Amino acid sequence: MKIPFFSKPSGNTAVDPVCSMDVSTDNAPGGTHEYNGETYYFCGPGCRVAFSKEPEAYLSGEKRIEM
Amino acid sequence: MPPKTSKTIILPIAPALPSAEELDIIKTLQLINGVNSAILQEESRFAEITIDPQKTSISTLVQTLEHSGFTAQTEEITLNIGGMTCAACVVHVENALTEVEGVLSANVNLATEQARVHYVPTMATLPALTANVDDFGYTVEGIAGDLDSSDQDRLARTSEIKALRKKLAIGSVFGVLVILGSFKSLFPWVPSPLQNWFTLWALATPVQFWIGWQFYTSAWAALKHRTTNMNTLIALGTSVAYLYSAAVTMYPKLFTLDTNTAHVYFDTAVMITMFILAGRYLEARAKGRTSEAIRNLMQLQPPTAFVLRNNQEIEVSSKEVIPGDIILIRPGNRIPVDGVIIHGTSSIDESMLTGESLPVHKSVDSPVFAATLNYDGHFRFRATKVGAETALSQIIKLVQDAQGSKAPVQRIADRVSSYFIPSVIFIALATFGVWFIAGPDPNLTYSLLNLVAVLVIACPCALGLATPTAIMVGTSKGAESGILIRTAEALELSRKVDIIVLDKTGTLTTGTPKVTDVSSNLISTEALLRLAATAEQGSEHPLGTAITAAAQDQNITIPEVEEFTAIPGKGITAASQGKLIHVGNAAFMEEQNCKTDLLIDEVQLLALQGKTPIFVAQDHTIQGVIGIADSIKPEASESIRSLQASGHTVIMLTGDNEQTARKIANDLSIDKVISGVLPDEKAKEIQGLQNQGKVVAMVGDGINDAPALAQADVGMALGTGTDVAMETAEVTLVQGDLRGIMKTLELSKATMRTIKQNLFWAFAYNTALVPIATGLLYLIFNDKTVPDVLKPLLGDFGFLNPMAAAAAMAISSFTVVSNSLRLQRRK
Repeated sequence: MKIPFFSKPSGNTAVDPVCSMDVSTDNAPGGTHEYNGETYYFCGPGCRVAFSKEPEAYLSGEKRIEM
Repeated sequence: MPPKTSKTIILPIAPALPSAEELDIIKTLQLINGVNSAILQEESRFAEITIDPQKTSISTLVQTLEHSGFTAQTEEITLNIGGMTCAACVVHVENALTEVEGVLSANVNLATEQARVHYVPTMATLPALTANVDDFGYTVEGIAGDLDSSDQDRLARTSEIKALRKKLAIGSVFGVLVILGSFKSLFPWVPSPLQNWFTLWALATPVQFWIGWQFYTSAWAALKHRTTNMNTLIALGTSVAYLYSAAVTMYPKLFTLDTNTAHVYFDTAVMITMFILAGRYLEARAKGRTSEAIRNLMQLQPPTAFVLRNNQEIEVSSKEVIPGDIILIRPGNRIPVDGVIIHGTSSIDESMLTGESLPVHKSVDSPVFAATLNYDGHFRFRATKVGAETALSQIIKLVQDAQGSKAPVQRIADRVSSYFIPSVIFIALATFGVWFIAGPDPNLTYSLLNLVAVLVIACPCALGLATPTAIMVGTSKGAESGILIRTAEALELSRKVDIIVLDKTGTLTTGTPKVTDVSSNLISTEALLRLAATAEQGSEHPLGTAITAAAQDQNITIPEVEEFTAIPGKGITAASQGKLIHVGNAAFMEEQNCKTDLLIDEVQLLALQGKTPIFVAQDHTIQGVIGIADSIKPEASESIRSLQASGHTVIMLTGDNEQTARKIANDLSIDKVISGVLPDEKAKEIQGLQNQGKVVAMVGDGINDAPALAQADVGMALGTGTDVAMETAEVTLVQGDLRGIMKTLELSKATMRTIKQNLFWAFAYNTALVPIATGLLYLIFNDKTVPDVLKPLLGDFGFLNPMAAAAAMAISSFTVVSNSLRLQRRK
């Protein structure tokens, strides 16, 4: 039986490259974006749009959203 | 993109500065590091500043100005944002908004899905904000609040009515079953399971707690404010009946006196609930909808405007126009924003602002106003005031303020209830006390029985029907006479009106100019009219149509016209049957070399009467003069006299000039005239009268009347007028017939009288039975001596019987409804 607080969410998660949040890969709220053969998952449309405009900036860590 | 080294910023300054301060503000601005130049525009309403964006920003400018005691006019707006899913989204949206030039700050709330934006309205525009938010992956779904509030209201009312109807339908079924099962003597054929107390209890329970839940919530809310209202009374009455009956059902022995078997009052509880609910349902159906005045006013502004930018004509959204823009106007266009004409001339219909039906002539340097209608000229003007600053927006704000300041009228039923409840509780407790102390044993049982009886019988179930039935009949009666009443409050309040304020143009007058005088020393009036009509036959100008209408009325044949030229603001030149005809004002005649001095006497007389003189010349010789004026409505005189005869004061309030106003006021023997009034002043005048303690009704038809209509206690709009007026006022006189004013006041008197009568009957039967409920009769009749004729009602021993309670409920409700229907048959 799953106890909400103590068990990890089912499925895998990925890290949103823009805001560094954990995002479920089953159903990412912000959708996905492919870059250089890799699929990235996002927490919201804003992060996805930002990433699609400047993928390198976020991947290299040069740009990041501070939360 | 390389950063620009220079940027021009336009900041609106509020309020416009006196010239002494102009230098100060320039100096303050120039002292800011990064400011290259600063000048004032538009009589210091705007500061045009060029800056080096790397050294300074708009925020700095605004802050510096504020620190120095000046105010840069900024706006705050709340936008609904769509697409936000997490905290990171908040950051993105805030960035999207603050990136837009002119935005000072943006605060986004994830929970409410809204963004609060602080910006400079001349620099940042809604389309720019929307576009940028879009770019970042989110959507602006609209401005929070305003426009949709009337939609929300409509939805809320429909769902309320549906919910009530459902409860009414279901509750009635339960109610009928309970009644059938409660009175063995009346319905002996009912199967015995239904007559079982437990069955009745089960049937009464959903009625008491599901259908009747709203009484509890309302009573509780009132209690928290330390008041009682109608719902308190109902909740008390039904709860006592229900709980007592439940107790009796479970422990009948406790409540049985050897002289008396116990009774249950489930039927009473159910009947009260259902009757009150029926009243609520009627009330919900009759409830007025909120006015759509604001929405209508906002729609007056045309959605787009043609502006000249970079020497190109483009069509933009009216919201995007900024002060300084050059706008092109063609015939038939509505003006989008306030401004000043820089090229061209035209005639503009400004009736929405001034109430004057005659088009106003405009030329270079004339002001033009948003929402007014351009007649026949082409021109260009420079925008000066846009958005919330236009004259139209000022009117909207005035209406909003007036609507917001109206306090809700306390319903009479609630007032009566709040006095009644303490009395009932007192009597009930006194009854308990008397029986407990002085009554026979078991004194607790007697005391309890009688306490309950008092509380149950005192609950007037027809109370809920008293007001709504009368209001319903009242409004339908009004509708029959062409009077549409939107709110119950208006119907209740109208009878208290002391002063009636009337607009002139379109309200007291028909609003269409008519020919009043035709005078000539040279030719017959017929011939003069024929001449004038010949020239004016193609004209769409109101003065022209007045002349042609007058000619048609007299069956004058109008010959064909061969040539025809209209000069806006001046007159018409036409050629027909070899004659050269000029028709127009004095200035026009001068220009065309026609001498007007022959008719000085006639012209002076017309001017004194506030009429417009139109000269008619043939071959450069003036033949005569035609006087044109707005005509008074035929029923106006009668209406005003009847209002004054019944003790009301009648005042005329108009934006028109003193002379014209006085003439009409004298013709109608109006008590007082206030002329030359602008829309915001109209509302202030009404407020002034209200501050003297008077109840004021306002009758108007134009947009310029809207603030006054909203401010007045009872606003009456003419159905022949603008939609805005009808939306702002609570009452609409459909045909524009002024006799409707008196009818409304009388209807209100009759309706209130009916309501009071209904309230009386609602309480009468029940209150009459309270003495019986206290057990008084038992003391009189003592054991077993109740006269036979009274036995069915009083039972064997003179105690209150559920049948008596139920009968009281039914009869009072019936009386109230029939009394209301009596209103229908009056007049």
